[in-house]
Amino acid sequence: MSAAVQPRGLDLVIGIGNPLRGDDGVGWLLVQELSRRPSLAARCVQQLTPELVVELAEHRRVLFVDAWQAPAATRPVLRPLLPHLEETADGLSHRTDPAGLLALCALLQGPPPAAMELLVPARGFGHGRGLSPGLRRQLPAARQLLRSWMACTS
Amino acid sequence: MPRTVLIDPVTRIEGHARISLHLDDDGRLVDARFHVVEYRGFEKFCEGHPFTEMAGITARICGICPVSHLLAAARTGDKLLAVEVPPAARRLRRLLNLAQITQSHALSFFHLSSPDFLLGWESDPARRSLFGLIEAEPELARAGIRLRQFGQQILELLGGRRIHSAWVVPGGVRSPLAAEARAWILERLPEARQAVAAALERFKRLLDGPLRREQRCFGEFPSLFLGLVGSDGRWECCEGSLRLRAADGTVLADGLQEDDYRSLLGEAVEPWSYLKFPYVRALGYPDGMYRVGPLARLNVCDRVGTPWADAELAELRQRGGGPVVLSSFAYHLARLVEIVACLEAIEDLLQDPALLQGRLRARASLNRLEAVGVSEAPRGTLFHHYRVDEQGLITAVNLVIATGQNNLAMNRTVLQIAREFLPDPVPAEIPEPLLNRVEAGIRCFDPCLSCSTHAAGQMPLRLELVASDGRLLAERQR
Repeated sequence: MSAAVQPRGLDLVIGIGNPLRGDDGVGWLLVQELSRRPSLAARCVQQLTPELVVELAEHRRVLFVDAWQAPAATRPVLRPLLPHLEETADGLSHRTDPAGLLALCALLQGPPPAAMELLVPARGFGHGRGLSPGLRRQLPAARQLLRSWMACTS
Repeated sequence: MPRTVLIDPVTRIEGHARISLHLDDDGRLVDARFHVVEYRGFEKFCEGHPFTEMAGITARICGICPVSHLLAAARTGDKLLAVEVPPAARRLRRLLNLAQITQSHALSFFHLSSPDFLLGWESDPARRSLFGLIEAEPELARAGIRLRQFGQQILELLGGRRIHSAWVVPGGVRSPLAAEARAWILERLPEARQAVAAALERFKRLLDGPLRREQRCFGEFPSLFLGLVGSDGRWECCEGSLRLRAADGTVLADGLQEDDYRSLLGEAVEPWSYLKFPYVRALGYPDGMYRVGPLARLNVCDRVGTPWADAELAELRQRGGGPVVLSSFAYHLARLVEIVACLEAIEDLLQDPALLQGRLRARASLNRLEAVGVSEAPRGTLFHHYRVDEQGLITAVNLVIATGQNNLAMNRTVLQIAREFLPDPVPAEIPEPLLNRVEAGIRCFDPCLSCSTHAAGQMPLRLELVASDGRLLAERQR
């Protein structure tokens, strides 16, 4: 993303994944498509690290956009996310998940932003930048959900 | 009966390794080995690529210190082009490295090592983590996380991304520091200073109390120390020349250029590890053991050159009993002192008008076929050595990584800790406090095995107890 200082105070969108591993790059794709505006900060990351709590605490709402390895799901979903910290073997030294990051934010920075996640069903995680045909079919619906979340901004 | 204790994997470091402790027929500890068991082979597969791609390729060796490889690769590229890097670009590169050292040291101290100091060596391993630290000392944990984020954010403001940026190039850098980015850094500097001040105060109290024994037995032994120093003997992280200092303070070599590294350093290989064993040629292997990194940089320099860091350096030396501090445990305090040095240097740089003025990149065609570049990575001195053909395609690469240069000292540290804490007689079950302290001994060096073997993966810990005939008698694994 841009090297400029990001706007603070309103909405933050975080795309998660590895754009070099097929469908795992869908979070980056959707976030990079967003047009810039003053009330929105956007970031793409390969994994969620504890330091992101600093940015979370500076925003009113956050949306995590990620590939969803859920064979039963056939359509993208937009759903609320609550803080939940699951202790892991590496003790949070390097990475966590969205719910864990929110919980960490609550512990260290105060009330976390209202959070949702946009999950896109994904199946192909091989090497390469291409998205699978199945995931490409989900993109219009995913973009629509992203727009609906954006439309709620003040 | 001769035995070996094996720790595999080692946790809370960057990479994958195991440790074995070897006992003789009488059950006495005779050797300790830090085995690095992964391999990626960057030196080989870089061959055939244009040298201009080396910054981008070698940065992928590691997600923690890609900046260090970027800088070393770019400096090697500068020399292949035979160009003078413009003053503003030199300053911007320095700013990048100062931010890199800050964020990496913050990760090492707050996330990886302080749980041992603050929660105790005997505490539950499942709680001895950043999570446990957040519960026990939330303000310190918060300060550490924000300090690391501060360093990472500067990397992003300069390079466009926190890791694997392509901003540093042979001949200079790609873009200037924006005015709003400069303002953001200046706005956050006071908080960063406050964070490291709090950590220093807290850590010094521990050093004066419960950590006295660790200071004495965590790798306190004479060795040589190597690092870059400025032309006036100041602490240096980007340019300058190499200085080698002995344990008694004698300067054995000074003003050395990186091009001569092969006359200074040899690289030995042992069959039980993929990590090479660099040594000072003049003293031979393994007597030529030397250390690099934060403690070495502070041991080789005359002064830092900024007021707060110089005061902290004086205290570090006073605590260490002389001008050269020998205990590897002092690496932790040295990291905090270096964060102070970085924050002061960042502030000075931001006030320097030359940072924002003039050209950012010198351009030229290939003018040399061989070059060596050097930079100070957070973990120590980093050498990149390339040979290219007339088309600028790489024909040979040698990367001498900080963690490798500390390899002999890490092995010596493990042996010293095991001698201090291994119960006599050696029990069938390996006790947790031994396991933890041996790991922590390695962690003093903040080793990055992804860099040093150019290997991938996490670093869990396994400790093995092995007989002299090679039989595995006991093991403990996280």
